[in-house]
Amino acid sequence: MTAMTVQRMTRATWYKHRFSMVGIPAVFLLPALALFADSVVQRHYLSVHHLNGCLVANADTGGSSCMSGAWVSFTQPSPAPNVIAVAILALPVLAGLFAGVPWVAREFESGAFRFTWTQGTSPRRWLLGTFGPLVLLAAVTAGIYGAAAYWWYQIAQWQDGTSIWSWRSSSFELTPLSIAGWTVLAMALALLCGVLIRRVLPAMIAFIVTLGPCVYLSQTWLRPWLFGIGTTVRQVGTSAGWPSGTTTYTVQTWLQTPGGQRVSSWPAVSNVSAWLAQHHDTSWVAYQPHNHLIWLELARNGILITAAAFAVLASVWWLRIHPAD
Amino acid sequence: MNAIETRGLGKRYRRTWAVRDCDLTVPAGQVTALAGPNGAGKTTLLRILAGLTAPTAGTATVLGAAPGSPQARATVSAIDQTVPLYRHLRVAGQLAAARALNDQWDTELAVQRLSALGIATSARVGKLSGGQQAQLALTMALARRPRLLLLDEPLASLDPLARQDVLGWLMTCVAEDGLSVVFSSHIIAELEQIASYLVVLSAGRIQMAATVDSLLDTHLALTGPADGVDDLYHQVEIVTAQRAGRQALVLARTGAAPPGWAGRPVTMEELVLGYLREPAARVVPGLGVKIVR
Repeated sequence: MTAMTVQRMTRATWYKHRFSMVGIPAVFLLPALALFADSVVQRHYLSVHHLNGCLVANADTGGSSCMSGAWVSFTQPSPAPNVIAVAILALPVLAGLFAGVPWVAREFESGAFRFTWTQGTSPRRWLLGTFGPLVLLAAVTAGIYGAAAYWWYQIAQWQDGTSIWSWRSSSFELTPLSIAGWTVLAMALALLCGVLIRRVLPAMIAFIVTLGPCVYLSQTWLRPWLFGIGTTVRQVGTSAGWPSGTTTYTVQTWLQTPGGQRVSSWPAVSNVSAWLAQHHDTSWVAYQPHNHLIWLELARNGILITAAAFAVLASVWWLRIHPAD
Repeated sequence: MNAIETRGLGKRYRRTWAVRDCDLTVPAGQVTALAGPNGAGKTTLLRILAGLTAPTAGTATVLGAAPGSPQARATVSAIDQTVPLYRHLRVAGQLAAARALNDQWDTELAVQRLSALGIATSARVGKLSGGQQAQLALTMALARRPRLLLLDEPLASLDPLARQDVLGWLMTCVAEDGLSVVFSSHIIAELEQIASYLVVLSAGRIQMAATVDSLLDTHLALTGPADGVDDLYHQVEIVTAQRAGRQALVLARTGAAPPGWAGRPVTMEELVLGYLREPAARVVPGLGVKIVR
């Protein structure tokens, strides 16, 4: 499509879907504003009580201010941050469900697509011209929302009662990149369900049935699988040389014989160091250093975007062979 | 150039053929009436020609281009019987969307036409009456300045006065711009007013396709004794015969009434209904006007 065609299709989509095109940014930007405001309040509290220095792992042992009542009060364990974190991650799914699916499916259901198709616009141009502005708008605003969520979670995670670790699921997902990636995938699956089923309600059900396993597989299989790729391997002592538990992700530890063979399990002895010295075995660790995190984030979101691209291509292909039957 | 050409065109929905073995040639610059009973395949044929649905078999061209191709989309306008519009929009928004979608758009024509019809651009499309929606769809179809207009029962929701107005407007467009129109309707009297070419579809097949004049010139309504119908089969090509007591009314393909029978010219309605009563009777294109059984 030429630039002029894109401009004209965007204009036509604006006329047709004005409410949604305002609604989608609002859905992402209003919570972003709320998260931003909450984070500003929290940061102000920390600043007023000189607690900014405590925002490092194991800070409660780092100085007198981190033992103060203000810090204890701030870090009082609360389920709220975790609940909010889950709600934040649910928003791309909800956007796909309530905005993405009806975007195209409703045009099929009402028959309004025939208006566009008989106004000099091909089905493919209609599909991409309708979907393009939506996904672009959703991705950009989801990215801003993700940035606000990330900024908020850097502080809020201190209140959820668990340890601070950038490799855990919530930290990995609450980034602008991840939220934008999930939003694009949700919108693409919404498009595919809309084109395949062409009825709003059944398409919404199909969307949930499709995206649910994607989220589940991403959490239970894809992320652990990616974390096992490109690890740094090094020899460690029994108590020294281990990578930092707060900034790295340990994939595997093992013992190795002088012959280079791996020992499947650690010895059940009280003095492991002595046992290792006696057998001339060495201990090893495979881990992801902190600087790998961004690359793994990029890889995971690249997979999400690739899956989204396949969903869009499948939609175009299906529309080509079944235009309006 | 012909407005429409189809060869062996067919469309199947699961096991049912909606249109089958459709060979049709419609010359450009004509108003073509597409008649047929419910389920005859009129809507399917028009949707194929509009590029809204793909055929299962055969080929079709509209103004020399494949339906749905960029050339065809630029020159063909279509109004589906569902009158597809964005009902949540205001009329002005609907017009703006249409203007954005088209390379060629006559804003003046659209605004003047809607103004003449008393349709406010601030009105919500969904709040317009069925007739007004049909008028709006027709206005937008013509504001594209098409060369072929495909209309699937567009007047069904209009009152008689509005119908006359639309038909008059269409005739003006045909006369002034050389527009070709294919017009499907159940109301044959309505088709008779404007059609110069007639296509009758029955059970998904083309039953008849020729100019209205040639069909009317070659058919007569014959009235005579009911017991003479059997002999009449040997003298003329009978499309259909209805007996009422001792009298019979016969639609026949003949230029003159045989002895013992009174002949009069048929109306288009009689012609169409006569063929629809006898789906086996066909006027085969390419072989002249010939009835096959």
